[in-house]
Amino acid sequence: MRRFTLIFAALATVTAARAQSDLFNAPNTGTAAPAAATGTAANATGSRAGATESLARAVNINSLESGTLLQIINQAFDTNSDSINPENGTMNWKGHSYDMGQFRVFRGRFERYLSLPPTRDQDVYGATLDEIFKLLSTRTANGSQDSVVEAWKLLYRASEYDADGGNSLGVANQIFNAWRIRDEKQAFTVTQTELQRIRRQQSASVVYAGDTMAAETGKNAADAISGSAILGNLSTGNSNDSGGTTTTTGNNGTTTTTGGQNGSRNNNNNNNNNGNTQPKQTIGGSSTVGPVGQLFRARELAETEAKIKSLEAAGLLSVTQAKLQFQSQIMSLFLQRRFQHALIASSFYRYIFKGSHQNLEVGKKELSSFLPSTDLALTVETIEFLSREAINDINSGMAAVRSNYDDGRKVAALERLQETFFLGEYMPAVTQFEPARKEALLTLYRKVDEARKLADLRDYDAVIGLTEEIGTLTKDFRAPEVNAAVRSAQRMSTLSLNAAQQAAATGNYSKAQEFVEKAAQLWPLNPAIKNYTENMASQADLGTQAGVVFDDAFKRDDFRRIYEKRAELAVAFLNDNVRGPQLKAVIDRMARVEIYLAQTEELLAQNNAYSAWEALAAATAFAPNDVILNQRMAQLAPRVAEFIGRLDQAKRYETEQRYAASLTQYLAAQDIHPASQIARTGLTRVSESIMTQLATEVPVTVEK
Amino acid sequence: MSPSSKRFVTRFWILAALVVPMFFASGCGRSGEPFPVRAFLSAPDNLQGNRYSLEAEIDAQLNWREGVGRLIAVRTLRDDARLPVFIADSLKANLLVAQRYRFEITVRKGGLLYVERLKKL
Repeated sequence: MRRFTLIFAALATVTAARAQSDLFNAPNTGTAAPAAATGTAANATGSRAGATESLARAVNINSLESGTLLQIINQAFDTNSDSINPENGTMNWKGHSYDMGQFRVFRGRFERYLSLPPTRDQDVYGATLDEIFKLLSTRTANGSQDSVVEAWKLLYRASEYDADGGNSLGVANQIFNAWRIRDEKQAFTVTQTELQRIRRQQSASVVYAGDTMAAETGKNAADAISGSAILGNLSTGNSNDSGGTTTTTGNNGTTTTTGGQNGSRNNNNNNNNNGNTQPKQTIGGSSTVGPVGQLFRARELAETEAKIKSLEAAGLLSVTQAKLQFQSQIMSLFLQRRFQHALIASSFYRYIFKGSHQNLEVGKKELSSFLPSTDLALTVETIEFLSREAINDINSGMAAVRSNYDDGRKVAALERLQETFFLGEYMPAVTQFEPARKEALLTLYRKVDEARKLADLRDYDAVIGLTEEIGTLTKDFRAPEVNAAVRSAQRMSTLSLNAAQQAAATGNYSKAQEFVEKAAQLWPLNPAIKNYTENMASQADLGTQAGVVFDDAFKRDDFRRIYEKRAELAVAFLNDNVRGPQLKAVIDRMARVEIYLAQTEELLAQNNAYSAWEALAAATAFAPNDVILNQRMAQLAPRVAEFIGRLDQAKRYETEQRYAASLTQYLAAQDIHPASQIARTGLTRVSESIMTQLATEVPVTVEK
Repeated sequence: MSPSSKRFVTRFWILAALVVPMFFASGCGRSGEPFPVRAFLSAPDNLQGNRYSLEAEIDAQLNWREGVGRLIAVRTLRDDARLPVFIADSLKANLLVAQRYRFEITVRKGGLLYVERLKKL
């Protein structure tokens, strides 16, 4: 609801009209007031084509690196007119901003307009308005009161159509109000005429009586008159006589005074046969030629004068109020973009009010914003001129829409239609736009709007698909520009994701998280992000599983299993300060075992079973429970059984601290395999133990 | 000195030279029981406290501690088995590898073959 023009009603109370005796055109004069300055008919053409002034569009850009991208996309999908400011919901025309209210709501109205069928009975309604224009035209009509009344009656018929919105009824009521005030003014005029006639009689009576008294009494008459001015409330007996007296002078010079609220008439013959006039006081308003009678006559004259002034003031006030109300409604219609009704109301105003009252008293500030120069005298014709200008702009705009549409440039057609709709929402040229074209533009509008929303959501795959679809609808859609911007954003997102993967590989997970967030901001639906997160999740899962596997194997000294999974475990335990070192130690152990196993193979190839077995035995120190190692030893055992038996016996004796027996077994083992490292080290170790024992038994006597 | 007395002294020393070795030979191991190598290797504890005679060749010196003695690995002449024996420094023996001796040994606790006496062969 756009009702901001109601403020003009308040302005009507503060304007003061020039006091003139007759503000209305005389209804029966038969002369129409000439048009002030327009000189153009309602259907005149040739006005300049409408050119709207550009306003910078504010593009909402998120604080992302892709802000430039969004700007490009917004521009690519822009269907806003240059005259539209989506930030504050205004439409600019000729330097004046029309307040459209909430822009989102207005866009909804435009979409609704595209989807609505043409208004029912629009042709009949249009014909009715055309008839009104014809009846009010200064060219086709003669300005007769009958034509004006006929046009006024048609307003009620026009108001019955949906397209009218009840505006014709408002105009008709305003005209009716103005005419009623004019009738009241005419009634005032009749009363004024009668009062003026009475005043003239009273003046003549006062003058005659004064002259007579001056002739008879000289100076006393003048004193009486001046005294009456002082004693204007003089009571003369029956003071109930109100000022409605009428004095008539007959042909014979007699004076008849009709007065008193009883309406009684007393006729006094003032003729003196002897010609002497004696001043007399009468009760009941009887005629007198004395000083007191003269006082009454003077007072009655003053009262009549006051009544005339009062009537004049009342007439002026009511007419001024009517004029201001009418102008306010015209201005309101214009600001509501009801340009046809503004023209109709202006035409009626021209017929109802005199040419000298065409100057605007309200809305001058608002109207001056439409004009390049503010020095011009703003009249009702100015509103007419601007209304026709707007109508011509709307017609030109719709012509441009059709031209672009026919050329296959539907995006341009949509832009022109939108800006034309904002100005001429209620004009037939807009409301009666062809339904088939409206439907096609509505489809395009929804697709473009959907693409814009998808771009805002950065669903780039959907954007690309939609741009291809839009490209099939129109040839002037900037699909390559959009696709280039989208591809750029996708590449930036992928690059950020690659950087995240590299950072994760080096263990810098905080940096990786930053890159992932950046990639998601640039392209939230990037499928690579999904893969990345799934991989990270699986890695996390592997880490959990790896921990279980490692702990179990480590507990059972199953280093072989740990060694076989060393690559996965190494990744999983990159940041594990407990298992990481343990894993490294196990790998070191098993690496030695593997070396011994390789050495065993070589020694067996040389048929050196005892050394091979010793190599395996050395390896058991690193992995006592290693399956492979034990398998090899089990396979080799039959070939070196006696040797193994001697060594085993030696080891058991040594453990039991039976060192001599252990020494014997080591020697026996060494006999079997003289190069045995186990036997040699065992001999050294055990012999030392024996000597230590003997040292406690045998007293040391070193001869000097 | 008369010639008859000179002949008596000469005959005495010849007789002594013949009798003394026979005396020593009868008192140093020849009458000792040979050391049972296989039994010792299988169950050394069963031989603890016994005295045996062992003829063996010096194989290697395993350890030596001054004032205590030395551990010698000897190879038996009969069984060709290597055995460790302890020779105390108090025996004042000069041993060389490959020398052959007859050892009078005692099997001590733990199976230590303790050389009581030894004679080079």
